[in-house]
Amino acid sequence: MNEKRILYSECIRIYEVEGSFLDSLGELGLIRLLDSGDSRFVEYDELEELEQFVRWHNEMDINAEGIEALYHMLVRVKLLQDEIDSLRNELQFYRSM
Amino acid sequence: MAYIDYYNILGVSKNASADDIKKAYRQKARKLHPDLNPNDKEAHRKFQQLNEANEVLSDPEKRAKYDKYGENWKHGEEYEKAQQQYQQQQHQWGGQQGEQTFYTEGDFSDTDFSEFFHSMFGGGFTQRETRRTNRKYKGGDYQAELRLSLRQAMYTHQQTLNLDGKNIRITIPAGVTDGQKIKLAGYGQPGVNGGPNGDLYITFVIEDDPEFKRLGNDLYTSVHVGLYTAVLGGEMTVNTLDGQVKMKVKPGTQPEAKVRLKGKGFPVYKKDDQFGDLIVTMKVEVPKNLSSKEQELFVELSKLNQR
Repeated sequence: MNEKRILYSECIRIYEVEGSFLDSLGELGLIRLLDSGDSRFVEYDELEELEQFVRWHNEMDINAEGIEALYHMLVRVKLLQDEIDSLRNELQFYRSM
Repeated sequence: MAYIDYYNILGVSKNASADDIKKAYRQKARKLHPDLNPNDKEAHRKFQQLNEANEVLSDPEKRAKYDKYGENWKHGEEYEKAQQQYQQQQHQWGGQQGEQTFYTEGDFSDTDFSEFFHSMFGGGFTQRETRRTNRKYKGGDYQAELRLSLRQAMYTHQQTLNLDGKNIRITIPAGVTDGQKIKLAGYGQPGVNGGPNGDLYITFVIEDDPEFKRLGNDLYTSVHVGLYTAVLGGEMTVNTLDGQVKMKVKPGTQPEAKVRLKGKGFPVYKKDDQFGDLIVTMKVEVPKNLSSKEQELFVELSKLNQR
């Protein structure tokens, strides 16, 4: 299991972010921080989303709360887009009848 | 080569402070960021320009070169060397060809500048090259479309795609839907400065089938039912996407009546052994060109019905 997680301190070094930023993302439930013994880790599975949050933070100057709001909005946009695609298919079906 | 005004892209004046540039970049990034504008190529293009402008103007050294040399700021030093060599040549030739001005300090025409570089160094130097910065950037994403027949989409199968001469073998799970996208991480454009590669997004286009219509996981088809079978009931064979099944026809079946054959529809995406239903519409055929005997019997039936 150890090879599937990265040290919290390594994350801070690689992504050049403040520890408080990672902590906030963790508190808001946007990423999972794992405590094991004296060390804290981030799972590899979380890294893709973490990279996205770091980009939003660096490029758009959005804090963790803003990222939380944006993340949920984008999830909703994705669901709505899927619904539009599904309705479009349905419409096409009835038109072709 | 069109001159790109980085100050204009960021919407700041030429004497903007570093803080003004940072603020302007972030303000525009919040509007144009690709994550907030999925599938918007224009926003992606503008965001790339914005990044490029920010990269140059937020670095004092690069900004000074840009202010001096314009869009060819990266080749400013080469340009100056070439210009010195040219001046030496002019000096050696004396007044034979008269004075020609190729370059003036300060404000300059960027078009002339680019043309000058083109003549001195060839096209390669005037091409806009990938900006090298210390910052890592993920490569751009590729978008591709894959057309499948309805019958192909019914089975899990493999297909080989050719991307820039590289063959990529992908497994397409049974039950993919029209317009569905899958992501192949890392198969996009290469990252910049060691950044990760972009991703390849494949959108499935499922072609219409002449016999079956699909709605969700259910399939729709129609069959012709003879009048006598519709009236008296019976059994008939119905085509499915992968074979044939026997179907009972109830006595007194009405035109356009629908029969649902459970589990004979489309496979459910990524759910083994789960299928939608096949909905069969009965097209009851009324006989034409009756023989005299048939006509006689129908008249008889008609009279029976009137009593």
